[in-house]
Amino acid sequence: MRVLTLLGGGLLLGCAGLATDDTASSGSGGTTDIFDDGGDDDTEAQEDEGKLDDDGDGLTADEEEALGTDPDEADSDGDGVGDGEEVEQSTDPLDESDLPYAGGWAKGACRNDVKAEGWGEGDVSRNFTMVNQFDEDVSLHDFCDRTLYLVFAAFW
Amino acid sequence: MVLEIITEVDDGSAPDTEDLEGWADEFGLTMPVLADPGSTILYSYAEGMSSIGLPFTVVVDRGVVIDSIASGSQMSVASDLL
Repeated sequence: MRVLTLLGGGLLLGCAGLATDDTASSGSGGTTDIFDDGGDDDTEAQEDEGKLDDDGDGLTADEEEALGTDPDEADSDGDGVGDGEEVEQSTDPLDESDLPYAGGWAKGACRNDVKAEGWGEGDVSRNFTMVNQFDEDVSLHDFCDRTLYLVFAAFW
Repeated sequence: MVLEIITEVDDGSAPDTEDLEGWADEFGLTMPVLADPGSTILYSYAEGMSSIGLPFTVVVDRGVVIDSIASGSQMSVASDLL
C-alpha cells in the first residue's frame, strides 16, 4: 500500500511539473522558447561573429583581434599584401616594410629567434643581408627553417 | 634551397641588380641570386683558410647551423641534407 502511495505521489508531482511548464510557456503572451538549450543568445552571436571574415583576407575576426590587425581592412598595413597572406608567409601584417619575397621564397617563422654565433663550422651563422635579382634585401636568417646551400661565384 | 651569391662581374666590379637579373634569366634560375660586393661575406666564412677558390660553398643546416665550408662544390654533402 505504501508503494502505491509513493507512485501516486510521483505521478502527481510529474503532472504538477507539466502544469508549471505549460503555464510558463503560455502565461506571458507565448514568447518563451520552449526549445531553449540554455545558451546565452548574445554570447553565441558574438562567437559566430568571431568566426567571420568580413574583409575577405583569410583571417577570422578572432584571429585579427589576436594579431591586432583591422578586421574590416584586408591589408592592415597598406603594403599591397593581404593580412592572411602575410601570416602565411610569416611577415608582419602591421609592418609595411616587412613583405614576402617577390620570388615566392617563404620566410621562416623562426627568423627573429635565431641566436647567431659566428662564421665557422658548427656555429649558428651570423646573419647577412644582400640585394637580390628583384632589387630586394634578402636575409640569411629568413630561411632558418630549411637546409641551405650557399654557392659563391663570379661572372668571368 | 640554393642561394647563388655573386661576388664580382667580369670587369672586377660588384654586380648590380641588372647583372643579377640577367644571370637569373639566362639560366632560368628561380632561386635567390644575390650580390656580395667586395666578397665581404665570402671572406667571413673563409676566415682562417689558406686559400680560396670559386665556387666557394657553404652548407647550412636547419636553424642556420653551419655544417661545412669548402672551396669547390659540396653537392654530395648538400644533397644529403637538402
